[in-house]
Amino acid sequence: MKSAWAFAFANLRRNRKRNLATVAAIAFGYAGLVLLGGYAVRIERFLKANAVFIQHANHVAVWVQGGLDNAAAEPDKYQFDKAQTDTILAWAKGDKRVERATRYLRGFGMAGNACATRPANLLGIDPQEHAALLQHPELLEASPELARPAQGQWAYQVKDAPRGVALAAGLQKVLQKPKVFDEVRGRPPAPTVLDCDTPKAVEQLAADADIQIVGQTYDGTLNAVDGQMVASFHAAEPIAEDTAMIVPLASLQTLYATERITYVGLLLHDSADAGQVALDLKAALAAKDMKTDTYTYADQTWAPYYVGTMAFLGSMVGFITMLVTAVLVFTVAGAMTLAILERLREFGTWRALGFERGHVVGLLVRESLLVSLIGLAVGLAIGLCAAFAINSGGFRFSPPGVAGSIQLLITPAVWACAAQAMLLPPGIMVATWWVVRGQMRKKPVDLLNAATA
Amino acid sequence: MSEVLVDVQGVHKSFELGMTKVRALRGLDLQVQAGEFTAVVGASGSGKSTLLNLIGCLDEPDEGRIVLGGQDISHLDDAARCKLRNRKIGYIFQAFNLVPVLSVAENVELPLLLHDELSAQERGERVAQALVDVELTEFATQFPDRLSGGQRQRVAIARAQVTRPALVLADEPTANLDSETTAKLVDLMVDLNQKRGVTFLFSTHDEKLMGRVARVVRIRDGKVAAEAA
Ligand SMILES: Nc1ncnc2c1ncn2[C@@H]1O[C@H](COP(=O)(O)OP(=O)(O)OP(=O)(O)O)[C@@H](O)[C@H]1O
Ligand SMILES: [Mg+2]
Repeated sequence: MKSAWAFAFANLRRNRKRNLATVAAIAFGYAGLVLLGGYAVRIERFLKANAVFIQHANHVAVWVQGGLDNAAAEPDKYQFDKAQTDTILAWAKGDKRVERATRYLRGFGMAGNACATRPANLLGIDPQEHAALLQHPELLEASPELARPAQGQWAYQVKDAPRGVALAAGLQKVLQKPKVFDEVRGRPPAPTVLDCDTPKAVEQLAADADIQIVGQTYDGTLNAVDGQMVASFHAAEPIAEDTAMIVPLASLQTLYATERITYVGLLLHDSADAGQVALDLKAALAAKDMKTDTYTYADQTWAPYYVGTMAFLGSMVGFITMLVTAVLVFTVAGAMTLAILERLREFGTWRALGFERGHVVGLLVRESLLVSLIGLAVGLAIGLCAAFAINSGGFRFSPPGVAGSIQLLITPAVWACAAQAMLLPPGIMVATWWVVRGQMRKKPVDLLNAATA
Repeated sequence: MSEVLVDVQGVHKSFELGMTKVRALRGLDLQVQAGEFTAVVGASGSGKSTLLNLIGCLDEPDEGRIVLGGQDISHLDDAARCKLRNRKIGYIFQAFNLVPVLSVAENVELPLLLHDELSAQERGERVAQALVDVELTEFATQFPDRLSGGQRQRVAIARAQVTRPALVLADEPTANLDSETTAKLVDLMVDLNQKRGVTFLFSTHDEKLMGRVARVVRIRDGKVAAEAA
């Protein structure tokens, strides 16, 4: 005797056209979901890499308690001193989950070009530590484009610019420095005093890549450091585009006459550990009388752009998945209704031979489950092929915060494909059960006399 | 001496047909002895199918009692009806009602799948024997759509008696067959009745058949009108 599954499969071949249509509907619907999910997974990787490596959220960040709100106003009180920084770095070194630690100093200042100054948001990071972030395999895999500046080279790549700074493209523009250090190297310097209010100024400003940074030390005296603009970059937000500037940590500490830093970012071997590392680090520091706040890259307050976008994208994908699933469930329910109506007399025969209602319902639920599984398998194949084709096609687009365009990639993930497929078989089984059950309430004699088939 | 296998006592059955009520059976009485070969005849609409469906536990009477092998089957729950249909009754339908995706042997085996007491091997032996009885052994692996009408109905006969039921019901089993095939089929049923003692109760329109049948029950207006032996 055939197994129940073989029987279900044989029945599917009876009305080949309709079942093919049903399988096709499921396959194309699911293929669409696979692509959508693959796109979302890709965007997630991209945004995460952007947040962790480019926006310097890292996997875990540790601040002085309250620092996120107050460090700008009271840097002395809300930033780590040298001893505290060393304590954190030592802990990070001793923890196997931590790949590396990076020190950051944040502050305000004025960026000047000898004629005019502009307010600037300064991020101090050691060029070598910055290099490690920018060359990180996870970043390069997610999007090598993110790691590249819009113009020039990062400070660590320019050996003869000891105080290489990078300006956001908007700031670069208002400071009238169209050429980076590499492009003006060896040229005669601009005169010490520029003809600022004359048309000559444009040319004079463009002749070098020198930037002055003016700021206030923590005890209130005005101070300035020089920098060479080695690179410009695009910031993620419009405001940052006109103010953001990356400065070597040492230069910024000189400007503020401090050894303090604002926060330490930790990169982990496995970002899934972030939550636990954040807790452990906070506890370990508390034991040494350091009150801190720790954040992970998945923290709304710490990486709002990433977290907010993913929440939105996640609910979009979830909603569309539900919608497609619902449509497919109704499609299959419709096809099953027809199939059942055509076969009432057969079901009457089963009943006459002594099979109970549940038995017949089970047969049909099996059939519809089989249809949905075949449809899902075909859909997965179509989706993966389409993803491959799209990825080979080399389509490009320009998301915010990226110099130039990045390639449109679809990277389906097993967990996403599984999650999107998960609802369909149960939905279809329930729909079939519901449709069949109504018909099977009929008496056997009415099934046998049904005017169909 | 014979025992009463089927005892139909004062059975009424009506159907709602739109606004009107069709009284198909109006106090029908009938007894069938074990081992009998009985034909039910009557004009179209006289209630033959209705009667067979009630005896076959495919429907329930409005009034009256039906006793099958000493058990009142008029009002049973679904599970009990299923069990009864599977164990006690075999059915032969006018349109054969074979399952198209199952082979001849699989069709015959179908009701035995509910017999947990039988091993697969025992089921196979029963199926083989049933196919020998209807002379279809060499068609065991064929599918129904490859068979003629007469062959299909023989498969149905094999399926109906493979469970060794007390009673085989056949509602116009020959209506879809030509006269030659019909004659052979009736011979086969008579043969099974005599060799294996299977009790047959079947309905027919065909006057020619009646001569070959031991007992003919005529129904008119939902009642037994006359009986010829
Ligand atoms: N499900 C039903 N719904 C409505 N009326 C029905 C139903 N089944 C039978 N009837 C009616 O009951 C009466 C008896 O029908 P039945 O089918 O038993 O007659 P029959 O003797 O088998 O006729 P035929 O020789 O044409 O098969 C008929 O008038 C028929 O219209
Ligand atoms: Mg009839």
